[in-house]
Amino acid sequence: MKILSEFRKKSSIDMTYCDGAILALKDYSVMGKDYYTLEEIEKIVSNNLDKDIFVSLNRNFFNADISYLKDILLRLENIKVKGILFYDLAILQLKKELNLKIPLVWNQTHMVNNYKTCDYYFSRGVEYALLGKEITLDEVVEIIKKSSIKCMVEVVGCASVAFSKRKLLTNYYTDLGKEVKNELNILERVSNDNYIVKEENSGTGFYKEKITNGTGIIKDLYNAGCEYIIMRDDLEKEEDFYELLKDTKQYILEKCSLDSYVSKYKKLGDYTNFFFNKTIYKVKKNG
Amino acid sequence: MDKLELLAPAGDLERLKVNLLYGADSVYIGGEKFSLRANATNFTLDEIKEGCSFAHKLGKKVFLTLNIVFHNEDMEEVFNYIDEVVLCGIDAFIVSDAFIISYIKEKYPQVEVHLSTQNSTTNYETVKYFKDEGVDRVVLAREVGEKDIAEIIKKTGVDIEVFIHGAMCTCYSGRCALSNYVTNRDANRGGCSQVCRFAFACCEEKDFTLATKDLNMARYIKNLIDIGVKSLKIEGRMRSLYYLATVIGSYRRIIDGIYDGTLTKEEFSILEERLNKVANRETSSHYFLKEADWTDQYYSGRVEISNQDYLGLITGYDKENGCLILIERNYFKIGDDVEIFTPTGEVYKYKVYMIYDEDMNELEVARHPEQVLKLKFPEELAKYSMIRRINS
Repeated sequence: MKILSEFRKKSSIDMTYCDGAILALKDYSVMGKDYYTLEEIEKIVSNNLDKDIFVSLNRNFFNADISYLKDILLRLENIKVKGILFYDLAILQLKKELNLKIPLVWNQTHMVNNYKTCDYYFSRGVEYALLGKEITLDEVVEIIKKSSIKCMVEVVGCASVAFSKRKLLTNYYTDLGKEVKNELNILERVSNDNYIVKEENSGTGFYKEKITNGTGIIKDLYNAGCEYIIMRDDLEKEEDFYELLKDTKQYILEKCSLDSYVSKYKKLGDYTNFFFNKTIYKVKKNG
Repeated sequence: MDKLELLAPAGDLERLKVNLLYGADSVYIGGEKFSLRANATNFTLDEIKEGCSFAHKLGKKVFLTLNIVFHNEDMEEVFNYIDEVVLCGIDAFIVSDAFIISYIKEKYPQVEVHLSTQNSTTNYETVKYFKDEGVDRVVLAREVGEKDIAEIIKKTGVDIEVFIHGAMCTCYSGRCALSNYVTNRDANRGGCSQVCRFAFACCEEKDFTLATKDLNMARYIKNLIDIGVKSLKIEGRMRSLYYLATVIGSYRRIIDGIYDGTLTKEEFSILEERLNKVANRETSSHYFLKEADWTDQYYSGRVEISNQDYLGLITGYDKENGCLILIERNYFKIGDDVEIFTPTGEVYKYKVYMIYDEDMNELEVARHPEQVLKLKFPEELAKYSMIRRINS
C-alpha cells in the first residue's frame, strides 16, 4: 500500500516520505489544495521519476472546454504521469477516441460507493477508483476485496462536501455590498459544525472544517489490499504533515503492526467522518 | 415535426392521473426503492402497474426513477426490483449509475434508459459516452445554457431532456453531500434534507445563505423547441395537486399555442404570471442565457409571496341541487371572482354568489380548509377540476 499526498502549496512539495502526489491541474480541476500548470507538472514528474504522480482533472467540463481538454490529455500522456483523476465522463470518452494509454482514476467524488460500479469502470478501461468519503469502513473494505479495480482511500484531510458552479461568495458579498472574500468559515447552528466555503474560478467548494482522522483504519485498508491511501495537508503546521507522512510510511513498512502509531495520531482528533457512521436516507415510513 | 414531450413529476397515483389529465405526455415516478425521493409517498408495484395501465390507455408513458447512488448493500436487491418493475409495464428507467445502465440495456433492450440529471452531464463528449453505452436519452445538468444544449443536440443526435420549472439544486446534482454531513441524511440515496435552504452563521453581519430561486422557463419554450430539445421536465414529485394542475396545464397551453400559432402575448402573460405565483417562490431562468449570478439567489431566508389562490378541488356533482361538490383549500367568500378550470382545458369565470355546506346550509364565507362545500353550477365537470381566485 502506497501513500499519495496532496501538499498545501507548490513550495511544500517534498515526497521523501510518500510514494507520490496528486496535483490539481490549473483551470481543469476543482477543490485542489493548490493548482499547477502543465509545465510545473512536467517538471515535478521529471524531478521525481521514482514517484507516482497523479493529475486531477476533476472539473465538470462544458463544450468550450473539450478541444483544450484533448490537447491537455495528449500532453499528459507524453509527460508519463501515473494517472488522471476524472469526474466528468468526457475524459473516459476522449481516452477512447484518442486511443490514449494513460491510466484513469474514477473520481466522481460522492458516487464511488459500490464494487459493481467499480468493476463496470474497470471493464471500460479505468484502472483506479478513489472511493467516496460518505461510506463506512466496512463498505470500503468490501469494495477493495470484491472489485478488480485498484482502490484509493482518503484517510487524512478536511473532507470535500459539495461543489457548485455558482460564485456563492461573490453573490453573498455583492448582496452585502462588501468587498468579496474568497474564503468564509460558516457555522451550522443545530449541529454546531463548521464548514469552510472557498470560491475559485470554476465555482464554490464546501469543506468540513474538522480533519478526518483515518489513521486508525490504515491497518484495515492494508489488510484488505488497498492500493493507495491519500493524505491531504490540512494540518495546522506543515512540519506536522511531513512527520505524519514519515510515521505512516514506517507504519506501512512494519505491516501496520505498531500500536504506537495509532496512539500517537489520536492527536489529530476523533473525527472519523463516515468510516464508522452510516448515513440514513429514509426518515419515515410510506403510507 | 414531432411535438416535444411535456414530462411531469408524480409522487403518487393521484398526482400521476392529474398530470396526465392536465396535459403531460409522460410522468416520472419513484418506486419504493432506489429513488432519490425516499421520503415521498412513492409507488408500490401494484400502483406502478395501475399507473402504467392508466397512462398507456391515454397513449402516454411512465418513467421510473432508479437514480440513487448505489451502495454495496443495494446491489443484491436491485436486480430483482428491475425485473419486477419491467413487468409492471414502465416505459423507461431514469438512472445515474453507469453499471445499472449497462445491466438494464443488456437484459431489457426494449426498455428505454434515460441518464439522470444526477450525473450532471454538461458536454457533448459525455453524452457520446452514454450514447455508446446504449442510453436513449440524456437529462442535462441544470447548469447547461442554451448554446451548449443546441451544440450537444447537433453533435450527438441523442434525445435531450431539460428541466424547465421548479426547485433548483445550488450545487451540481450528485456533487453535493451537504445533507450527509450536516444532517446525516444521504443526499444521493434519496434522503436530501435540502441543506442549501439553511442559513449559516458566519463572521459577517448577515447569515450566509445559498438558496436559489426556482426555475421558470416559460418564456424560452420556443427557444427549446427550435433547438430540438426532446423533452421538457417539471421538477417536484412532492408538489400539491393544484401546483401540478396549474404548472402542467399552463405549459401544455404554451407548448400547444406555440406549435399551432395561437398563443397571444396577452394569454402568455396570464400563463406566465400564474406560473410565477404558483410555488410561492421567486423564479429565474438561471443558466439558460448567462452564468447564474447574485440575482438568482435568496439572501434573507426565503422570500415568499403569499399564495392562497387555490380555493378548492372539485370532487363531484350534486344533481339534485345543481351544485358542484368541492373540498375547500383556502378562504373565500360570497362576491369573490374565481375561475373554475378543468383537466381538458376549459376555464369558467365565476362569481361566488352562494356557498353551501354539505347539507345545503347557506354560508357567507368558506373558512375551513378540508370542509366539503357546494357551489351552484349548471353542469357536471370532470374529476380533478379545481377552483382558483382571480381577483387577488
